[in-house]
Amino acid sequence: MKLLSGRKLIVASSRGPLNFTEDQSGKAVARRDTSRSSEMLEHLSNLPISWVSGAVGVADRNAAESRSDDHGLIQNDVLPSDWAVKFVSPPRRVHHKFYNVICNPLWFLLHRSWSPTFTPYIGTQEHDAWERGYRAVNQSFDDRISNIADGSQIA
Amino acid sequence: MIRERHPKSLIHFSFETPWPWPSELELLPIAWRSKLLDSLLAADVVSFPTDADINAFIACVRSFFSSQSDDHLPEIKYRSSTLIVGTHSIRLSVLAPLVRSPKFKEVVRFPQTQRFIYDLAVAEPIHTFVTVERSEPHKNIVRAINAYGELLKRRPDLTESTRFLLMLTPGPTHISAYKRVSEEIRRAARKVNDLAKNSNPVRVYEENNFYRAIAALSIYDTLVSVPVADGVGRSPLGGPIVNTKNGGMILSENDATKGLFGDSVSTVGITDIAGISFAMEAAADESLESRFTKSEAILDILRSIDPTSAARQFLSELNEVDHTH
Repeated sequence: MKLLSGRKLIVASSRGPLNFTEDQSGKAVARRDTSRSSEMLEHLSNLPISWVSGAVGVADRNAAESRSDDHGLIQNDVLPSDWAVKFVSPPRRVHHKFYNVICNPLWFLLHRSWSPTFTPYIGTQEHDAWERGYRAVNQSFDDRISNIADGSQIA
Repeated sequence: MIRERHPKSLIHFSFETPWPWPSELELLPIAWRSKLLDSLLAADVVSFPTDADINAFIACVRSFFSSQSDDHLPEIKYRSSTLIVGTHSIRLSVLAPLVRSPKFKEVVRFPQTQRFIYDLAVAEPIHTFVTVERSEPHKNIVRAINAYGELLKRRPDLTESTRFLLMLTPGPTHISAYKRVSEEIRRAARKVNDLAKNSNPVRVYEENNFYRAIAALSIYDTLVSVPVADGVGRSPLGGPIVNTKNGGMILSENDATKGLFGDSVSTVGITDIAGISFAMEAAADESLESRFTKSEAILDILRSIDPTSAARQFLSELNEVDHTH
């Protein structure tokens, strides 16, 4: 497959190609994720790809601290050698607002599961979560991407 | 945000979920809608699961801008898969389906999976309806069970010669909608089983068990997938790969894969419980020859899909946009 002319290829997704579980001793164990985006891009394992993905579970959040090198890259032995992963790991309260208060209800919207007479309930808590959760996490993704771009052209 | 900081970047946004119609999107506050649409319209390529999602997206863009009172609204045009909003062009595409044949074929050979296949097998010839889904409200599982109940009321003779197995991955039940759907599924299953006296034809397995799910896919006579909305369609894409019964499929018209299989599957409306029930009856009565012809057609379609096509499409779309830049 053709490489994009001189651009750094960066993939941002809520779930990336890597997640962690913890063994009985509490040690982080890396696994390949089975999200559609990571399965689709398995076929591009020969291309250098920088992934920016969310630290979804507790083990991911712990790994974001314990497995990051000086550049914030997550150390692992399960991904192609040309792939690098950085986690976006916001504080728990921000993650709660992002994921539970905004993303879960948005999922219902996208899957036509709302009944307009009763749902959604969008009060001040939800507006706060939009600003301080959803937009804040998106800003963190943006910052990570800009950090990887480091002045280069990107795709 | 990315576009502001990196004006010359190439941005490909890939949706794995359906896109809502304007009447649904307008349930969000105006400021949220504005941010979401602005962000997507800053991309160079946006891909969706189906053509219907592209139509819904265009309708949302038109609806949103037409509701603005600004005198300097952008002109919106759509032609040759390109949405033009003012001076910016966005390519809209349907991303190729992702078929996971090698993985499914590998898992079906695992001893754990073979054990479940043995456990699910029955001595008598029996028509097995199977649903393999995540236990989510939009999967429409309660209607599928109710449809099966209607079938047994209409055709009591099928009580002993059919069964309905549901392999459901549990959702996060701390969210009330998931808890409720899980309870509704169990209630609907109980109701049908109560009518059927001692035979318990509906069996719900709500568990994280990929092996048992693959086992069920390998033995279905009819796969039932009737989601209200769906973006990926994993069971209809993976099921026929491992199925050993020349099984058929009943899909809702909103299933992401429905367009792929055409007349080789039965298509039903999402709320039409009677329609789903009649499709089940037709499947139970279908001749072996007809089933074989349809299942071969389904397999031919799946075999023709290059597993790398989605990744290739992703790269080629970015390359094409790069050239036009």
